[in-house]
Amino acid sequence: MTEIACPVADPSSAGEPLDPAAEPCANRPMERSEHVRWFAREVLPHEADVRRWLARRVRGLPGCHVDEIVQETYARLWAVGAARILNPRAYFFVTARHVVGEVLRRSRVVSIETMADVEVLDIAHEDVGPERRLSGREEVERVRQVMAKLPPKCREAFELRKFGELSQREIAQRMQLSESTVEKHLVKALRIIMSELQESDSDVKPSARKRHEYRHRNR
Amino acid sequence: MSIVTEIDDIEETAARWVMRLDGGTLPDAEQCELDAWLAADTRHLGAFVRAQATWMDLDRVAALAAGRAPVKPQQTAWQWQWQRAAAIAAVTLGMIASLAFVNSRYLAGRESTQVGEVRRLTLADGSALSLNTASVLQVKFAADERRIVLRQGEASFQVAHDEQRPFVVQAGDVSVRAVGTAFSVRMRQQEVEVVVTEGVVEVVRKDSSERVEAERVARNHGVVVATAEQPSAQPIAVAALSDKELERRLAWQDGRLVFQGEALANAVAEVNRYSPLPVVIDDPMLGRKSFVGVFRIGDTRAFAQAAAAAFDAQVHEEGGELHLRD
Repeated sequence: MTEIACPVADPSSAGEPLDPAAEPCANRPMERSEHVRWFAREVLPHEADVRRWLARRVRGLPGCHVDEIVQETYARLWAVGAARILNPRAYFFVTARHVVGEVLRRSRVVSIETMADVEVLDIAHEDVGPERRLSGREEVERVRQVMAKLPPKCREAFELRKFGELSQREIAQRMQLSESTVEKHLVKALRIIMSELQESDSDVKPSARKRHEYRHRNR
Repeated sequence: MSIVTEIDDIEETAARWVMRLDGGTLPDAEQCELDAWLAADTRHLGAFVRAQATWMDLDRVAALAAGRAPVKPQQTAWQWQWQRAAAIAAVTLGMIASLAFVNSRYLAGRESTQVGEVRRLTLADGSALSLNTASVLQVKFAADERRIVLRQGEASFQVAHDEQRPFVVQAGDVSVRAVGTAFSVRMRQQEVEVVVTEGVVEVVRKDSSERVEAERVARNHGVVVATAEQPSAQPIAVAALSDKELERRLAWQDGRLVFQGEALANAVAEVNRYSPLPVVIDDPMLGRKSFVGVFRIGDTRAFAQAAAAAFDAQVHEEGGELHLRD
């Protein structure tokens, strides 16, 4: 089991609680949106795999909840910044592992035995594995499936916003709703989409493979 | 209108903020509220970034669905801007740590820290440095050389690349020379410690008779240099450091102290560097026990209590000291 070398500086150096004044880009909207776009392309696609790895490794460890570890990991990746991260996939894994280690150490004065558990967290190459990206068509299909599950008004607002490219205000006029109601529908849509994508991602493996094989057979 | 009140679910709050921003620019009051929420907990920031990235990525999927070419970010312009911002802020040093204050004003001359203080500074050339507890240094930049004289304590450096002007940290009769790299230097009583985290540095020791010892040191290595007055068979001792050891040695930059099984007495000595309230071990046996834990710099009481709990000892505060005894 070879441990993945950390592609840049030690992720643990990406620190703890945030000082917004010190955060390099949170207060600069232009740079922030570019940075978010980088996250969307370089970090989000790996989340399902990192979650899967975490779910296997942290089960039963004190104070470790996958959602919280993922949130903390995102915060650190954000703080380190796109330019410093050469291999986002590996960096994502290594940072998540660091977070788990810290949670364990912080949860109490950890006994030597629990520290041995942290050792078990070393990331093997096979864990990180090769990156698998969905094709554009698969992505569209996946989002369509999730949209089908949205409540009608919620879906309408979402479609108008993302596919119709209307602003929230325009949607409010079109649907004859208040802007705050539109906002609520969109919040709901985003939350459902996030949880569905994350679930379909992380449970997917066997069924996705099946779907893939099926397609091959049909060809 | 307050978004945060009565919502304890982080993801829900994050999604609401993302949608509020999607609706248009925030009024100042709401921007402040958002900033405060983001600063309150790293998980908030993480959830917010995640929700924003997902929301933004849906534009790309929508474009794919419509057969439109996805909107391409203007790579060069923003990357340059971002890299520059990153270099100047020296993000890698973990500038977001709670103790950190990015000080973008340029240094002029002498800088120092109080006991328990950790400070980060940006130099005129874009290099960044962190100054650990009770440390003093002097910045002497010239046209052909960037020189830092460490008078006392410990500092780490993220050096901006400039081949024309080498970056030299001088600690007594030891100097560390770099072009563009990251390393830390700590002055002790009879030795100077150097830890290299990026690139290569040259460590040079010059004794009173001008005899020079030099050693090139690569990343993930630590060096102990005996000061010239100390007779030593191996004046410059280089050793490879594990990731764990590196993390431990540099944790102070994030405002943390990490102990991974060293003797409690050594842990206490380290903790005492940062606090005017020293911990004293009354029982030498206790001092030899192996100790594991992570602490916030300056939180001496938490450390003493944790150590007491680990070894079934008691903490007594008396005479401005925390005594550990069975």
